[in-house]
Amino acid sequence: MMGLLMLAAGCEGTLTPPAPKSSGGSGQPPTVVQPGEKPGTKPETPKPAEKVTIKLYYPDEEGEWLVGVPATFAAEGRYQAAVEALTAGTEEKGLIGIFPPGVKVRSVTVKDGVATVDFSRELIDKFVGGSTGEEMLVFSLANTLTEFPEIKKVRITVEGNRPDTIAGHLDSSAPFGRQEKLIKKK
Amino acid sequence: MRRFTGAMTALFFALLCLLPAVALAAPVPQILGFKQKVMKETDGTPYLHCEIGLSAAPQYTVKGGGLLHPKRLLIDLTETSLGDLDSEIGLKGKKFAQQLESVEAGAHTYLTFTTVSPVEDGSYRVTIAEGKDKSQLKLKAPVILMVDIFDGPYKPVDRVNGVKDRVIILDPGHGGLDTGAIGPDGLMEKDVTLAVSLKLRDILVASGASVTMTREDDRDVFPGGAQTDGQELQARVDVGAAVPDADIFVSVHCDAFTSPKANGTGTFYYPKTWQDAALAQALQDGMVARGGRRDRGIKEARFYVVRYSDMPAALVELAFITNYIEQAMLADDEFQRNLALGIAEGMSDFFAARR
Repeated sequence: MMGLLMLAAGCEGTLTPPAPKSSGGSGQPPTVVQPGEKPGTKPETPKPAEKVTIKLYYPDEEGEWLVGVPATFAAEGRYQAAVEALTAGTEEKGLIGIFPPGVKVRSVTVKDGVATVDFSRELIDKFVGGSTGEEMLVFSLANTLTEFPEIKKVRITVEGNRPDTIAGHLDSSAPFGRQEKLIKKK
Repeated sequence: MRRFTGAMTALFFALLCLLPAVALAAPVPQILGFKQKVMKETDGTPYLHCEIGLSAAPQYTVKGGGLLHPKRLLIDLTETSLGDLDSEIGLKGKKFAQQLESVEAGAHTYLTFTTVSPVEDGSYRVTIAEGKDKSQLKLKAPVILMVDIFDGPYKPVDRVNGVKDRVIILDPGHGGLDTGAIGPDGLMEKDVTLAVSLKLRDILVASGASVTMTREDDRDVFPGGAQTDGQELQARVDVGAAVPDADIFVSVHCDAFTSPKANGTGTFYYPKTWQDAALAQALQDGMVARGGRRDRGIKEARFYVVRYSDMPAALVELAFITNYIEQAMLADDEFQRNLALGIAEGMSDFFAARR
């Protein structure tokens, strides 16, 4: 069973050669823009030199809402940069970083609208847990990455394997979509 | 019928006024006999049940405990004759009381029970039963004075209405190798969820429900410990699936968060049917009413055990183990009892609405 899962994870994740238009964070250009193509016709694939501004979603201290904090990244490697910024935490008053200390973002790959984020094992081993903690961690990531229009869903892997859950509650066997309900309305 | 009874009562009092001499001449109560037996409450709690048979109902006062004689329970019977009751009677059940001494002095009879545990509120019960066949020990007397002595304060298990014959699956979250979340002072989620679930089970069973638990002690539910979270959680779902006609699946957890500020009570569900949200809301309302913590409301979430249970299911979060104040509350027996009662009342409301 586990072997099957690992195999399946491998197929969609690290083993697949990254498609040019969807790679990120691996040093390769995330997109190939054909000469003569008008900028703006495909907003989801900015040129490598461009910058993109999205919202990073951090939970409030009460664990009730996710709050968006704008951040700008170079288009090249933007997925990895966004997740690393999220895991680094925030100085914003009233918000907290939900990711456990020491966790590393091993890779972010995007294929067919699904971003697969591979973390180091600290994600599970060092996480405080809790239903609320687990929910906030998963959707701070999913809501942040789905800020990029080309990403619809987010899958979490840990050192290449798909975990059943991060902290024993939330079924992580399928990718997560964006959860608007958790975002604090102004 | 009510009017007729009222008229009869009025007539009775009128006769009493006309015949004061008869009322004064009532016979002096006399002790006719004594019996004792170790018995059990419906929840299994044992106690020593003593019966003192009397010819008529006496006036009496009960004094117990205190600094001087903490293990003495005194029953003062006014205008009562000792009869031929033995002055010292050895008592059965070494856990409860050692002996009963009886003395007649002046117009009083004093019954003194020497107890094993200090006498305090709830450690004894004194009642009078009048009429035929009131004795539980076949003691022949028109009036029975009953004295029940426990081995400490007895708190009867709470009961709720409307869960009789319901089939309920209880899942104490985590357990065994999986501690669940851990509080700042080291309190483990798995211990709290088990304690509250056992109290909840006792309430439900006392109320007539049939309860199956995924675990009743500190263990992994998957035999020998699972290799993956999915196996362990599926093992819990399987416990419910194996019970025919199970009505609901309720998983008991403590919440946790990275910031110690987060606090309150919440409930999670997965909307398989409309009943899942209804169950979650009923349990949430019950917990908030009894526990008194902040109402975080109900939330839809893809939680494994509620998603894959083939019946209405909810996962309750009692309070935050990562919050200093709530950690202390979660370790408290009284708070655990209140939350268990709140959940049971929530189930009662859910079944009432569904009927």
